[in-house]
Amino acid sequence: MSITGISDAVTAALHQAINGLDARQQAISSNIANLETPNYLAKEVDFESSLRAALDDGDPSKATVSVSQSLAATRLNGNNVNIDFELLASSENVMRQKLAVQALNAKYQLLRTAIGNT
Amino acid sequence: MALPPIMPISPISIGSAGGVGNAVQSGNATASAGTSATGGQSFASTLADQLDKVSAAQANADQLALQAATGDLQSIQDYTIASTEAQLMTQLTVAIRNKAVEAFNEIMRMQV
Amino acid sequence: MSAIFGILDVAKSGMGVYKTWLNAVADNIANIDDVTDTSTPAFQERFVQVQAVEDGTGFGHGAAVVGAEFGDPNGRVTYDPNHPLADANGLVRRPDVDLTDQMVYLQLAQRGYQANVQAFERARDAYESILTIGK
Repeated sequence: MSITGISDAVTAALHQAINGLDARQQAISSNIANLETPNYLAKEVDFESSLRAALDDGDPSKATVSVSQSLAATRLNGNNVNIDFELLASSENVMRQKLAVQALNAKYQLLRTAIGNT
Repeated sequence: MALPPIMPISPISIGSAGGVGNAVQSGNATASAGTSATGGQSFASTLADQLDKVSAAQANADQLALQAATGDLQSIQDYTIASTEAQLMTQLTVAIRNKAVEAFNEIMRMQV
Repeated sequence: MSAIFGILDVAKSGMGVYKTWLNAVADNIANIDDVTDTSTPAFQERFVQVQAVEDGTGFGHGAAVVGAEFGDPNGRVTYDPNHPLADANGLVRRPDVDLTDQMVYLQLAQRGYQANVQAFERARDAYESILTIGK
């Protein structure tokens, strides 16, 4: 994703992770908005498997984000969104985003220190 | 896969500075820059060791950061601690480098 | 589901279990006055089977609903000759569900759910403080 020479595999991977977590946050918000929409199936985002595979191949920037529909049981109105699940997932996702952002900042800070702009 | 750490230090030049510095300390103003006084060499090898350790610390933090990215990290404190230690070690090494360069320049400025 | 923030999964599993129990008890209460004739089974009390989840560390990994059980289909046979469903002997079936028991279960399930919500929030606070290491 980066065209400069300063990024490495770790910053690229973290960048992809942040993209993926962003997408997941959006899906969670959509699910919550559609809590009672008839026949709505909850959306699930997966970027981890793609990122792992891309890392194994050596180029994390090739990772993609995919969306799928949840196979959980539906209620009478055909909707299968579980509010508890979505709220908890939202909390957890926020923390993962904080972790990824922190990791990316730490990488850049390391480079700054080595360059001399502590 | 990662960029080599940006470390514009060559142990050899520091070793020479160490060698010259030591010769000056022992009062011998005509000692050549290549004198391998024991003090100078150990500083160079100490710094080289330090660079290895910093490299290893950065690589470790990188590895854990990748696990954090893919969601496979077993304990986040492993990552945050490794990252902090790598940062501090880098700062320490840069400080040592800066002091060593400063000392070298001081010595070179001395009237012989 | 989450390897990184594992404790959140543990609290989540607890919340799931108590929610399921809450639903089962609510179901029992809703059907407590169902009357059936003697030729059909009565409404059967719902029980939730729960088991602890282990993950190899020995520290435990929450709870899971592993099945459901149903109470006695015979219910309580009562004498109610004026009921439209009464048989030749004036008997009907009512569910073998005790309201006081169900109200107690309701309290327990609710408290259990809330306790797990607390557990989730405390774990999240702990993780957030770990994230501040080195800052």
